[in-house]
Amino acid sequence: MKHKDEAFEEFKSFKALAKNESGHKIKCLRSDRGVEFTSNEFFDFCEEHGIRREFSTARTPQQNGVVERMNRTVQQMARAMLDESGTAATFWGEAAFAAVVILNKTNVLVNSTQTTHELWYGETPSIKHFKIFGSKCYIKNNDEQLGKLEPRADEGILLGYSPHSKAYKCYNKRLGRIVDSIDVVVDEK
Amino acid sequence: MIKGRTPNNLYIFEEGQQQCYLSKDDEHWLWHWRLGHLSFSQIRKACKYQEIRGLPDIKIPDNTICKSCQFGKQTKTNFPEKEGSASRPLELVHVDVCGPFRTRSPRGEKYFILFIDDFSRMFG
Repeated sequence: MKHKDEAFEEFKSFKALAKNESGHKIKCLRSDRGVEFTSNEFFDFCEEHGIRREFSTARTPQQNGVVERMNRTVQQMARAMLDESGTAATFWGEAAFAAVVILNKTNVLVNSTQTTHELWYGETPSIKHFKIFGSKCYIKNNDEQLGKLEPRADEGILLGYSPHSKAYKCYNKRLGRIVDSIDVVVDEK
Repeated sequence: MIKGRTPNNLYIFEEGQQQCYLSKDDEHWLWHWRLGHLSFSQIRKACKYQEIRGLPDIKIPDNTICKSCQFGKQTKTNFPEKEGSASRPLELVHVDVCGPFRTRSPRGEKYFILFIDDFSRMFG
């Protein structure tokens, strides 16, 4: 998000996705008292959809403990991955997203023998495709106009897993932008 | 790993035999990195219940210290338990200065100092 006020739009899309995937509806939303959660449009929307609001007391983040603790876990994992690979700090968003993907598929809750992924989707997750974040990778150049003698691949940095396709998310150094590709050879050394 | 014969203390390697094996010791680090530096206790938990496809059974290495984990996640250590206290008055005295206070006293003072005897907790 560029601005905090985009939180409302993010919540609306999360609500739709969560309802569709789980078949359940959100009953209660617990948050802090940030201005992004206390806008009139947010209140109206929740009232309309019968969602109860619960707020932590002002300056008491302890009462919002579940999400605050997960924030910490995600940040720690993202920092460790960025440090290990020496990836530029501008890719913090990708690192955080990769951390969320990893945690959802591997996190086994206390008093449970199942991963978060299985509790939500009802099937065991697969992590066969996982590679080390920030590894050097070679991305196949699929340009149809590619000349006979031109190189077949571009160098890149592995930045996690595409949320939309069954593909890796990589930074293509030649193009200077992030691309999704399945034709990737990852050098994990 | 390379196998060779040693007549005359000289290793002789036959051609076409050299291969690079990933040793069993490296596998736990490989998955530690792939899983975004997930702690070994969490990895063990995931292995134990066998709820994840593609994750091999990983043992915890002897030395679990990872540089990037320290840079990314290090916290303060737990404050140690008290190891023992004084057995006689004035054997150990605790002291601290408190202040500065925003409001000065009538005599213009801004600080006070506190001495506490460890044995009796008498203070002044």
